[in-house]
Amino acid sequence: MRANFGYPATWIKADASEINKQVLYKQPTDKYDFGTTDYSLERHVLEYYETDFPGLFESVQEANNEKIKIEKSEGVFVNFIIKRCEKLADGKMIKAFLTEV
Amino acid sequence: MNYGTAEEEIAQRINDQFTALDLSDKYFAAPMPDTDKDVKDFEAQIIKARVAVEYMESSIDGDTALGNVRQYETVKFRLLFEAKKFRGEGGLYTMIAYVKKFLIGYKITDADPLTLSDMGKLVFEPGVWMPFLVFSCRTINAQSFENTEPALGGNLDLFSSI
Repeated sequence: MRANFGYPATWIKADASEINKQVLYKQPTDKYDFGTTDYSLERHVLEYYETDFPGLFESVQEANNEKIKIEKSEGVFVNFIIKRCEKLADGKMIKAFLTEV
Repeated sequence: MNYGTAEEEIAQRINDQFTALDLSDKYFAAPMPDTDKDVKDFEAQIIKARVAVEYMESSIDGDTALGNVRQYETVKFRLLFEAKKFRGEGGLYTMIAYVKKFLIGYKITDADPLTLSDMGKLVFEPGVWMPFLVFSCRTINAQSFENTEPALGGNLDLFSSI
């Protein structure tokens, strides 16, 4: 059932191995403070079950540049670096904030 | 001085120096983003420690000349830093140390050499802040044209016609 919604995502690990899972993904525009100027920037966010990408949360906490590739539409892949992660609700679902690269 | 060109020159100086040290894969500098697209491109350098160069403000002295106008201006640039960690290679403090070395005494177009004026943290909200350095330099604003004036006493023809 989980595979029926969301977006296909691939975690590209440091050793170049890959894990493919289905994730929730959204990209609303939000105000972005930078210096004394306000910009408008897309906020890329994904949510995944911790068991889908084991070790990803811990690696991001250690400031590693973890790469995620999301298939936004069929055959269109976008690469991201995870800026930070936080655990939601019971801690089993993880929310990752992304930067498009 | 063109503030935009100055921002670009300072960012270029920093990038050139990091390239010379073979560290351009860890550090990145850019002028203050013009557009939302520019800030997106700046964010895309997330794997590197980053600095944005922003014209901040000027203080301007009075006229120092007896003839044509000539005024000194002290120009300040704020350098805003972002990185994923404080210390070590690719760290915030490491980048700040490099940037001080690259810029103190560096001369940009139409100005005296840069000096370090201030350091601080820009706080956006509790727990979210951005460290900055302020560099300043002095430039001169001079009158670029001649004023033409009638001879002392004015036109004597006016008097003869009275």
